[in-house]
Amino acid sequence: MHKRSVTVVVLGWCLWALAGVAWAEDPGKETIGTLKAEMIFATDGDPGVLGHSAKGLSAEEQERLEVAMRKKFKDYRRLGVDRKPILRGYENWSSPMSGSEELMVSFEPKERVGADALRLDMGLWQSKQKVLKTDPVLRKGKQLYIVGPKWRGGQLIIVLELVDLLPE
Amino acid sequence: MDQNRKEELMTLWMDEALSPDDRREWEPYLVEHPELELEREEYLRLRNELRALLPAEVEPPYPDFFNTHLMRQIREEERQERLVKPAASAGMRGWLMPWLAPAAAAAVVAAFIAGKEFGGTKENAVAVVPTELAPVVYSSLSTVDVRTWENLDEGVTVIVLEGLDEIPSSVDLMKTTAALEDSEPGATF
Repeated sequence: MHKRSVTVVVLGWCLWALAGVAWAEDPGKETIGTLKAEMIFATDGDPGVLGHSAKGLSAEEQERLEVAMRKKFKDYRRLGVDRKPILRGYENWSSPMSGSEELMVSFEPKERVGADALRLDMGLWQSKQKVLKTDPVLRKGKQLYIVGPKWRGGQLIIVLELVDLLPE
Repeated sequence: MDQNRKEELMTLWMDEALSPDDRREWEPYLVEHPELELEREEYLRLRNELRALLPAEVEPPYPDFFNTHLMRQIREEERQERLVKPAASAGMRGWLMPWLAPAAAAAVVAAFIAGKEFGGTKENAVAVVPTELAPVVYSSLSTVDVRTWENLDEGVTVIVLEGLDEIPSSVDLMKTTAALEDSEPGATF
């Protein structure tokens, strides 16, 4: 009995080691940068529908958002933030609403555009249905705003940003 | 023979589709312009190579998106050509224009297939491309209207999706906000 347990453990270790080697040898799985996804709730109504856990934006953030959007709302709340690695050759997923899968972003690098920008194949998914396909160039420190569906009388806005990009 | 008729006969000749009457009409012109034979040979060679390289039919995963992307690349290529040759000469080059777009399209399809088949290596996964093009945006939902604009000064892009289904109020997006607590204080856009 004891001998069998030892065999299982050794076999498990071997499989784990092999899986590790396989992952390490695949250059497509290397992280080349980080994508940050934020979910903003913009409303002209009562933000109390969100409860107390949603934080407001700073005046600077709010102004930046309004300039970009060419539109003003009475109130803005940040609902969630997610940071995910950008893999060199594979698709990855971000869920700005943390554990919720209601709205998700898929992304995969397509090409570098200079030293600090990356073109991504990107998709927005709502209720597991792809509602947008695009290939934006994300530049470090600059935002891509996606104005998505409405919810509880407000507008959901996804803010995407390339927070870092490793040199080639 | 007027210019339109010449181009029509030229197209049929290039595609090996001249009728006997058309051929009789076309051949005197061909005798006067023997250099056209060379151009035709080159065109046929290119066509055959493309046919050999590409499958007869490929269904891309998102046809509308693919077509939009393709047309954008063709327009960009044509724009670059106009910049390089602002006063393109008429004649043979002008007659070949009808084939340029399909040839460019075939080249992009070839690149697409090559990427599908040979992509994934470290070098291929993220190619270095110096040019920057505006993003293509596409929704497969017929009820959704997509608008986009860029603020070049600020470096930001906005994509607006109108017509998406509203998320029911009963869905509690605020159930899990752990990521908010994990983020650094004062995180900015």
